[in-house]
Amino acid sequence: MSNLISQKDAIAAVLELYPARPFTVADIGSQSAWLKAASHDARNLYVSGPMGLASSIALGVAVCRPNERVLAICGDGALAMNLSSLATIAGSGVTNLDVLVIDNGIYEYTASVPVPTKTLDWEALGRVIFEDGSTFALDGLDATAWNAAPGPRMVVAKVAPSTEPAPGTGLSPAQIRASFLEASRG
Amino acid sequence: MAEQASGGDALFRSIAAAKPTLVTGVPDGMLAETIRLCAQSTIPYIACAREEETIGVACGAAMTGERAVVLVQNAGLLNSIGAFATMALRYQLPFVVIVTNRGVLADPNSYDIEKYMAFEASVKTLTPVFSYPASAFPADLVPAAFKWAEAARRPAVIALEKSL
Repeated sequence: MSNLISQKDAIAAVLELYPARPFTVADIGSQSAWLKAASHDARNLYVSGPMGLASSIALGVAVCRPNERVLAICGDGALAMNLSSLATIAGSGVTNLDVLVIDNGIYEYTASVPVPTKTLDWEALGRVIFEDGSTFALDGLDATAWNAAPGPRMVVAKVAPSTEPAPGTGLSPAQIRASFLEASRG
Repeated sequence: MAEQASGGDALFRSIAAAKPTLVTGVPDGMLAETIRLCAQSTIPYIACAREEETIGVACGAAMTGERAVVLVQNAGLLNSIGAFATMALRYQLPFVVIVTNRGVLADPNSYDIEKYMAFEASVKTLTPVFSYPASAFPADLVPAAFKWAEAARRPAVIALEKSL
């Protein structure tokens, strides 16, 4: 039996670190599903198309809403498909974007087969790409340390693979777009 | 030395006239001058490591109701077809993609020919592509492209090509 927390609880814990609700962009599959289950909000953008693009979409949101915090929730398998986006984010000059890496070592939505980054140290990668003091493990992280860190920031959550299928969001792309658009216009 | 295409400053002026909130891209020689001008302007320019990222960045901007311009080569949009289809088209997101369509009759680099053939065979079957000479296009090209994209609720793809 794993002592690791669930993806749903990890997402909820990261959202609780923020003093105000961030715009949250979740990758396709289990990230979107568990975000909705953990904390549905109009500021959530559930990506149901391209795998691994949440970090890039979140960068676009962050540039357009510089006075808001933006959180990208990326599965380890998904982010492996768009690893270069971390370099783009670091070089973009944005400071209001955070990346949550959900590290469960598998493609949870795809029959739980292993990801190529199974042995990758995501925290070490974050420390190489982002500014010193901007990368954290979720385990033991407190809000004071998180909110004092310079952005862009990364938090790595080691989670247990789910033993139950991730629920669908039940939302169409048109519904997601309309809801997020309204929320992003304040 | 980077390849220059006449019209780079005109393209920048057309982009600026559309008042985008951001421009994002991956360089092509024909876009170098425009990208340099964008990067020096007050419009945020997001230099992406891979072309698929530019589609993501533009989708994020469009999701907030803001205008975004993507600058890529035809090979770059080919690299991004999955994101273009499953995010931009699926979520009906209006933005403008400016593609340098390499490998046309007036641009016969041997390494560009297959890019042109693949672009013709794939992108043009997926979405309308509006083609113009890179050295002579309407000054209101990019503002007009945004009007079309916002009416059509999908990206407007502009192909700029060398001409004989």
